[in-house]
Amino acid sequence: MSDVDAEFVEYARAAAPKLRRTAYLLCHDWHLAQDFTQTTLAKLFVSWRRIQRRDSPDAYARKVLLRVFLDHQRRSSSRELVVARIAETEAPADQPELRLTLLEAMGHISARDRAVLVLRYWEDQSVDTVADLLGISAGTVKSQSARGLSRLRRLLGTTELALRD
Amino acid sequence: MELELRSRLTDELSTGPEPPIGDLVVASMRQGRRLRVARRLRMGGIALLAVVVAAGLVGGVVTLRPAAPQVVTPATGTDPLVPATPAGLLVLLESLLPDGVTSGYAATPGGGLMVQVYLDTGHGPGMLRVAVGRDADGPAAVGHRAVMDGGGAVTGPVRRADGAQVTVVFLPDNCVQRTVVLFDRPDGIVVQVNIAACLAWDGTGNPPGPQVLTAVQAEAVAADPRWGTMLPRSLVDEGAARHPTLPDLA
Repeated sequence: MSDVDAEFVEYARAAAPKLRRTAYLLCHDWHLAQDFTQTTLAKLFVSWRRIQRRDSPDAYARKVLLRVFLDHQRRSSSRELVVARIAETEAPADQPELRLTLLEAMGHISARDRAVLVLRYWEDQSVDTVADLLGISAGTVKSQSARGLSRLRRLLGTTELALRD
Repeated sequence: MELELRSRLTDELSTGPEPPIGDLVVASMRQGRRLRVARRLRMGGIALLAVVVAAGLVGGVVTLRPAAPQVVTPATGTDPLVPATPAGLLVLLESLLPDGVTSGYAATPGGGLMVQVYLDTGHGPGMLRVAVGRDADGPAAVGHRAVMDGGGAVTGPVRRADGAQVTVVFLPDNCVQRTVVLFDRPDGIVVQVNIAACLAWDGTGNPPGPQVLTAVQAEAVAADPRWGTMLPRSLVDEGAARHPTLPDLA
């Protein structure tokens, strides 16, 4: 194995678990998350010499993962759950077992809104960074964050989720 | 109480065990290497397309940039050459194809060295047929003449740096041989790759199917030095195990 390959292996071993968890939050399917992560790392491997010279391979990996996820969503929109099937009413407070988990609720918002929420609140990225990653304006990031959180609150029957700007 | 989204996600993630990550890194490197090859082939494909378009416009002789030299490697002492079998050819063919699901295996009756496979790279199955023979007496040579007599647009023959000559024929009226790549080696072996635009005859017709290789990809397949009327024993043995019987080509 060449030195370059060895350096890639070292990076990939460290980065893979976190990338896979992020992928899981995006797609709520561990098998798919594994595929997304593998494809992301494969794309990094192809251009590893160039990426190595960048300041942050993590940022590049995050961007590639998002593209892989959104491309997959575009190609197979049938995987998206039909929004109309999900109850819009609040879950009853005295029956917590009927509530959706947050992970389940995330599966019922649009892929784009989910990506914004995962980047903002899981990856802790700034509005500007998310805007850059998704190729949208900062204003759109804010509005999609608000829309996504609002929908989560309705699905979860709670107002406890904080919205940060 | 205000609860951060992140901490709640962390809590929920921690309630269920994550599946083992396995050999994800090794698999990603394998996939990355295939992506590199595909990228190079695409680059080559663009170059070839440009030449084909130019040839079509001027109707003249085509000159391609020679491909990289390739050394024909004889079998090693540990893997001697034995007479080729259709099943062995199929194993070799599958090993040279892009990622995808293969099916529809078939071969010419009587042990002829022409095999068929369907390859599905995500756009539905497409049919490929590969024939191997010696110039002037093998099935590939027969196919060569049939193709050349069949009309259509011919590119080449183009001599490569390794001495092989490549001819690409496009037959708009022949869905089984919509694109044919003929690879004539200096040692007299001819490898013919038929890229179909339909599937095999199903009793009533040839259902449509995508062309699953470009001409450049087909040339890369045909350029493997192991193709021949003799094959390494390991391929023949693996073929016998994986394809003990093969239906006849339809």
